[in-house]
Amino acid sequence: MGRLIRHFAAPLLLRLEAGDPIVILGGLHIGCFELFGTNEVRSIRDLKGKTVAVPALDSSRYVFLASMVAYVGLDPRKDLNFVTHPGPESIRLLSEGKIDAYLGFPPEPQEMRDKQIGHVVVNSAVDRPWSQYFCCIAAGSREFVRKHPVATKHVLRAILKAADVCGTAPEQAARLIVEQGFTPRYDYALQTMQEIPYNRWREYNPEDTVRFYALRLHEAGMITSSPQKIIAQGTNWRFFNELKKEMKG
Amino acid sequence: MVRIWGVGEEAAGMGGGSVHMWNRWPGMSLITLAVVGWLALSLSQAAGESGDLPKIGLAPAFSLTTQEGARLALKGLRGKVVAVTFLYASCADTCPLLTAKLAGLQARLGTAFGAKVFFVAITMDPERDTPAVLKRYAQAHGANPAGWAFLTGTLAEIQQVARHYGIYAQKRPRGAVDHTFLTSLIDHRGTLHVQYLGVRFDPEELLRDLQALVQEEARS
Repeated sequence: MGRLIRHFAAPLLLRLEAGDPIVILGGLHIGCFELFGTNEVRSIRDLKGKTVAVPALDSSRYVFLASMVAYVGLDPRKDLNFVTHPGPESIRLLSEGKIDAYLGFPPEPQEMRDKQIGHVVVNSAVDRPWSQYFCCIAAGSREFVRKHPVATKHVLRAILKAADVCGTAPEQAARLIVEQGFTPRYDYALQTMQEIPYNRWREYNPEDTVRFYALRLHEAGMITSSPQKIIAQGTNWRFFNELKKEMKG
Repeated sequence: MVRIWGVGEEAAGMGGGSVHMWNRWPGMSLITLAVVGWLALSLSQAAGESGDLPKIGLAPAFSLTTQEGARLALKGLRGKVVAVTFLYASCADTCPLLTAKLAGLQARLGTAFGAKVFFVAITMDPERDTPAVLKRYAQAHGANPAGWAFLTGTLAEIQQVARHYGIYAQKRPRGAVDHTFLTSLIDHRGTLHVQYLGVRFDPEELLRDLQALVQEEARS
C-alpha cells in the first residue's frame, strides 16, 4: 500500500529530521491558522509569560506556535506556558479569559470571529512572513514515490485540482463540506473557502517554504539539520513543477 | 492501492492529536475531491515536455450526440486540435462566462477555426440538455457549428466521460449542477497537453496554446 499525505509543512520537517522515509512533493495552499488572543496579547511578543492552549505538545499547532515565537526571539520551551486542551475547550477558556491565546484552525477562526471570542493577533493567510509560505504541503512515502511515479503524479494532480476547485468554486466546495459533515455551518465553510487562497498554489515556491520552516524550527531548537540538507534529502519537486505547467488556471 | 491521508489535529473541534491523525478539515474536502479526481483521471501518463507544451497523455475517448443529433467521437476529430470543456445549458452563472470566453476565440482563430481547431462542449445535465436544447444554447451564444459541437448523451455516457476527465459533478435539488470547470487541450494525434481549471483563465494564453498545437501539427 502506498501513501501520500497532506500536512502543515513544519511537522513534516520534524519527521524528516527523525529519519522518516518521506519525501515532500509540493505545496497546496497558504494560510490556515489564526492566532487569537485576549486584549493583553496584541503581538506575538506579548505571548511571553502567557498561557497558550494547544491540543497536544506534538501537534501541528504547537509546532507552528513554536516557530512563530522563535521568530520573534522567544524560547517556546521557557517563555510560554503551554497547556493542552481540546479545541472547543480552548475556545471556551479563551472566552472566559482563563488562557491568553489559542491558535485556531478552520472552522474555529470563523466561529471565534463570529462570536467575538478574543481577537486575531496573526492571520497566517494575510500576515507576513507566514502568508508568504505554504501552510499545507503534499508528501509521500519515499518508497512509494520511487516505485510508483505515475500514480504519485496522478494523486498530486487530483489534490491540486481539488485545491483549484476550492478556490474557483468556493460555494460548491462549501456545500460539499457541509454535506459530508465536517461542519453544519455553511457560512463558516464558505468563509474558509473564500479566505484561504486555495487556487494560488502556482504562485508560491515549496522549496522556500521548506527553507523558511527549517530555519524557524532550528531557531526553536527543534531540529539540527540545515535547510540545504533537508531540501537535498527530503524533497522532490519534479511532479509539482510538471503539474504547474500542465494545469493552468 | 494508494491511500491519501491527511495528518494533524486540525479536525474542526476535534481536539488534540499528533501528526499521524486523520485530518478532517478542510483537507478532507480536498481529499474527497482528490479521490474523485484520482479515480477519475485514468489518463495514460506520459509526463515530459514536447515542444512548448507538456504532454499529459492520451486523451480519454468519448462518443456522444451533437446538437444536430449526430454521433461525434473524439477519434473522429483526429487531425484537429480540440478543446474539450464541460457546461450545461440552464447554468445561469458561470457556464455562460466560459462559453463567451471560447466564443470570443472563434474569430481570433480565423480560418483555422473548424478546419484545424475544434471546440467540444459536453453537457453536465444530459437529462435536460437534449440536442435541441443544446442547439438553442449554441445559437444564443454565437457558437459557429463549423467548429464547435455541443454534446449530450445518456446519463451513464456523460458520467463516464466526466469521470475519465476528472470532472466532479453533483446535481443540486433545484436542478443546478455543481461541476468542475475544466478545459482540456488535445492535439491532432489525440494527446492531452494542458488543462485549464476554472473560468478565470486568460483567453489569450488559451489562444496561444491552441495556435502552438496547430503549429506543432504543421511541423509534424
